[in-house]
Amino acid sequence: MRPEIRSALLSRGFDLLNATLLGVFALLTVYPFVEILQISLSHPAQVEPEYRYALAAWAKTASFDIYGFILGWSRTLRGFGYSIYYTATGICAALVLNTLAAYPLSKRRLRFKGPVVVYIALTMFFSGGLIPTYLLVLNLGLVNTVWAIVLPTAFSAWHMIMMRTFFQQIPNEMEESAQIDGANDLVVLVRIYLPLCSALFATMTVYFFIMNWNAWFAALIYLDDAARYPIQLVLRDFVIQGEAAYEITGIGFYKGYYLSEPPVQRILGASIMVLTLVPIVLVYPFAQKYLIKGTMIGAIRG
Amino acid sequence: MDARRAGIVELGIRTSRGASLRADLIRDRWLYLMLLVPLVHILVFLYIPMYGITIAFKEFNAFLGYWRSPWVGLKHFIRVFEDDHFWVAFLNTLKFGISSLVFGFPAPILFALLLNELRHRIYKGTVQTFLYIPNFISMVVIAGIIIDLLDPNSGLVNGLIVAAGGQPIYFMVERPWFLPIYIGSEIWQTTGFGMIIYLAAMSGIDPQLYEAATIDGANRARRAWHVTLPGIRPTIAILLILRIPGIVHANFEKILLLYRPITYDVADVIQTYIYRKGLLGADWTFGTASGFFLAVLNLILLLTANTVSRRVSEYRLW
Repeated sequence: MRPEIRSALLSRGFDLLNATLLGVFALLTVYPFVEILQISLSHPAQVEPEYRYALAAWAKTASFDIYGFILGWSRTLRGFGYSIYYTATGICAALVLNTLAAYPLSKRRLRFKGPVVVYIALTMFFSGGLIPTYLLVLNLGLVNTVWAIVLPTAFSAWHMIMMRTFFQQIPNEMEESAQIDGANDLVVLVRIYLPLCSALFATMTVYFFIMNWNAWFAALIYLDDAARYPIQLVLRDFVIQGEAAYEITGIGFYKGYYLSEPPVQRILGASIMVLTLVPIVLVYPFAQKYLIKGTMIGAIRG
Repeated sequence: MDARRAGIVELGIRTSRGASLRADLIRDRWLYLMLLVPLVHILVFLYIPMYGITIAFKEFNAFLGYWRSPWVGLKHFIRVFEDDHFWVAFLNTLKFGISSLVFGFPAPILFALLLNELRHRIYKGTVQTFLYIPNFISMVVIAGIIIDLLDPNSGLVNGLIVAAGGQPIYFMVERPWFLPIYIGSEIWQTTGFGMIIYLAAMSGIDPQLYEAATIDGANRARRAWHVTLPGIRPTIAILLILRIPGIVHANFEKILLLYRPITYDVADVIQTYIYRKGLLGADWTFGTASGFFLAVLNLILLLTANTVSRRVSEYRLW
C-alpha cells in the first residue's frame, strides 16, 4: 500500500474512533441527569432499574404527578420563593459592587489606581477564612437576613477584572461627548455605558444567577430557621440528610404508597432535583452563548 | 459652558505638576465616590475577617469581640497541632488535593486535544455543550445524583454490578470508596469547562504553523505534538501554577455533602473539620488557627509555584 493512502486511512480511522469516544463521553456526562429525570417520572412500583429500563412498560405508568405533589408542599414552595429572593438580591448586589469598582478602574486618567488595584488583588490570594467571617456577620447582626447570605461573597476580584477589561474597550469619545453636555461620571455610566455594554451585563447576570441559585453553604450557616431555607437546602435536608418526607409535609400517600417508603422517597428526591435544575436549564442557552465566550475572551487577554 | 469645555480639552494634555493632583481629584470626584462603595465593602467583608485571624492568638471572648479579647500567644496553634484528628484531616487534604491534581489537571488538556481534532462543527459543538453541563449544576444536586446512582439497593451502578453477578457495594459508607468517588465526580464536573481555556488557546495558534508542518511531512499526531501542544504550553503553565494551591484546598462543599460519621476519618479535610469543630462546636479559636494555617500554606504554595515556574521557564503570574 502506498504511504499516502495508508496515512489517509489511518487518519480516517482515528477520526472515527475519536468521534465515537468523545460522543460516548458526552453521553456519559449527561446520562446521570437523564436518569434522575426518569426516576422522577416513575411510578413507585416501577422505580427499580429492572423495571425502568423496560421502557415501553415503564412509559405506561410514568407520570408527571409528582411535580404537582411537590409544588403543593409549603416547604418546597417556600424554598423556591426564598431561592428567587436570595438570588435576585445577590445578583443586584454583585452587579452594583463589581460595576462600581470596575468602571472607575477602567479609566486611564484615574489617580491612585495602582494602590487600589493592589488592595483589591490581595483579596484573591489571602482571606480571613470561615470562622472570622462568620463572627463578623454575627457581630454585624446580619444572621437570619438575606444580607448574610449575599454580601460576604458579593464582590469578586475575578469578575471585576472581567468587567474592567470590557469597559476599557469602549472608545473614550463616547464618554467625552457626554461630558461636554455636562453629564457627571455616574450619569455617563448609567446613560452611556450601561446600554453600550448590555452584552457584558447579560453575561454577568448569568454568572451571578448561576452562582447564587446554586449556593447553599452560606444559607446553612447563617440561617437558623429551616422555614427560610432556599431550595438547595430543602433538597439537602431531604436527599442528603435523609430527612423523612413526613417531617417536611406530614403523613401522606403517593399513588397508594406511604411517603416514607423508599421508592417514594427516591422519586420525591429526584423530582426536587429536577425542579431545582429547571432555572439552570432555562438560562443554559445564554450561559453557553455568553459565559463561554466571556471565559474565552478573559483567557486570551489574561 | 466654555470654561467646562476648556477643562475637558485640558484633559488631553496631562500635566504632571503637583497642583494638578487636586484638580484631577475634583474632576474625578464621581469616580472616587463610586469606588468608595466597593472599597468599604471589601474593607468590611474581606479585610476585617483578615484582622479577625488575630483571635487565633487570643482568648476569644464573645463580649469583647475580636478587637479586645486578650492575647495568649501560640496556645491555640499548639492545641491544633496536638490534635490527632487535625493531622488525619490534613493528610486527607493532601491526598485529595494531590490526586485531584494528578488526575484532574491533565483531563481537560487531553479532551481539548481530542476535541480539537473533530472535523464536524455541529458535532463538535454538541459534544462541548454536553461536556459543559455538570459545571453549571449545584453541588447539592451533584451530591444527590451521586448518592442515588450509588445506592446499594436501587442505584444504577449497583444494578449493573448485580446484573454482572456481583454483590452490591455500599459505596457511601465503605471507606476505601470515598476517595475514588470524590476524584471521579470532580473529573465529571470540571473537565468540560476546564477545556474551554485550552480550546481558546488552540484557536489562537497560527494556521501557517500547521501548513508548514504538513509540508514538512508531519502527520496529525506529530502536528498535535509539535504544534498544538507547544502552542498551549503557556496556558498549561499558568493554569498549573493557579492549580497548585488547590493541593490544600479540597472541594469542601462536596465532602460536606457526601461524608457520613462513619467515613469521617477518610473524608475529613481541614475545611470540614473547621466547620464541624470550629463552627458547629463553637471552638472559634481552634477553627481560626487551623484556617490561618491553611491560608498560609495556600499562599506559600502559590508563591513557590510561581517562583519555580519563573526559574525553569518564562511563565509566571507576576
